[in-house]
Amino acid sequence: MKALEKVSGYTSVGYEGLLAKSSSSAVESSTASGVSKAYLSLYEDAVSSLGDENWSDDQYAEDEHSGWSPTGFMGGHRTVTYSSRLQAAALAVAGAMTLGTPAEAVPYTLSLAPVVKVIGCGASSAYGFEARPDKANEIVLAFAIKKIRSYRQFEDGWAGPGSVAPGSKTLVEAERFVKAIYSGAKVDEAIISLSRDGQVNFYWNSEKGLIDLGVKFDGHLSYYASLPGGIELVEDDLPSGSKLPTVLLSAISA
Amino acid sequence: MTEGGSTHNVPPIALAELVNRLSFDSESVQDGKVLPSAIATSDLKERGFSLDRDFVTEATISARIEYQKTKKPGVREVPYVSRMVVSDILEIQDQKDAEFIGPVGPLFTITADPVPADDTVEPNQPENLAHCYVLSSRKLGDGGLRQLRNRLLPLLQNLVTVDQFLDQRNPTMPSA
Repeated sequence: MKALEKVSGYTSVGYEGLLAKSSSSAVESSTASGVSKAYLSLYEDAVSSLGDENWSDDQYAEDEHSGWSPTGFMGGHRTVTYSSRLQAAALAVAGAMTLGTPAEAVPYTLSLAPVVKVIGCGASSAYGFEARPDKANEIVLAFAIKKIRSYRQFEDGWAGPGSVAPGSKTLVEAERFVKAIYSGAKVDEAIISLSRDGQVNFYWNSEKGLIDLGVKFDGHLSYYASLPGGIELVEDDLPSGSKLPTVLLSAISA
Repeated sequence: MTEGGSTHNVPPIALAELVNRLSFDSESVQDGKVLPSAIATSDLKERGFSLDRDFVTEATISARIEYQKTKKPGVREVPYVSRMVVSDILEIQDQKDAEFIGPVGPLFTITADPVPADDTVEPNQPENLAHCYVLSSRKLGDGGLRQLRNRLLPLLQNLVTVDQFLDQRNPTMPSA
């Protein structure tokens, strides 16, 4: 409990206080077991990617041009400090979680929410998802964004002759989509994958139904859903941010 | 009967023939299952979802693996092969249509498409007389093609390694 108290101590001084202090105590706490180390490493890696600096100014301009709010997609004034802050917060959260703290007991100020707010990964009502921050969703979101951003490294031919890399519109919209779905009520985690024509795909397959959704080169969505009761939904071209059918949203709600 | 409009001297594809999908990217398979994204909708629509008949040469397979290495230096990806029977692909039909208006035919076509060495997409690739491709038999939008690929997907789950494929296959080109 000593370690947990240290983490709680950060809570009392809030997010800025957390940043003002060294995160070494949190690191120490969270590495109490091998499992903790492994989890922490994965988590830190995912969260730190949120603060990476590879997104160019041109991309920001393009985002704004396409209707993206600068604050809705990591404003251009980020610094390396943000990345450090993210890691510090992540370490604190991971420390508390891996010590067996019930999720409810982890103070909200220690969750990623403040961080998410800083970098603009926060609540969104796009696609009909009601904004309702959830700690578990934030972790899933961090990994999802990391995966989508990894596609920036792909080049034409990545899956054999004739395959193409995803375009910036596709990646920007895919990131917007995951931010929308994981800012709502708890949602089942999608399998994210890239197809050889450069589309980013989201796939759910459970007893609640099969959903195969993708972001196309123009940033529009298409999907096919096969739901219980023989319900099938097909959408060829859904403009960015348009509301998804309620029955489809229900199928991916946890 | 399958299609085959090539001028090269290859036999038409037989219903009992095995066709194979060689893939080299980790995006297509996760936890041992092939994902829908392994079948690009644009391939089903116009480019063709590429397959190889059993008599594909080892040189062709090796060339693809080497090509992949140049595109992803330092990344180790495990190639795998999905093996399917042609008749299974052609038996996929729209059950709803069948219920109301009777059988409307296969949802997919398979076309033999031998590729000579001077006509490969990338330079320095060997010829591939065993190449064939699957297309949607209907004009569909992207959502409809997603529906279609989920009908084809179960057939792709029969996965073997490249070594197993080379052991199992019949490398002799069938007689015309």
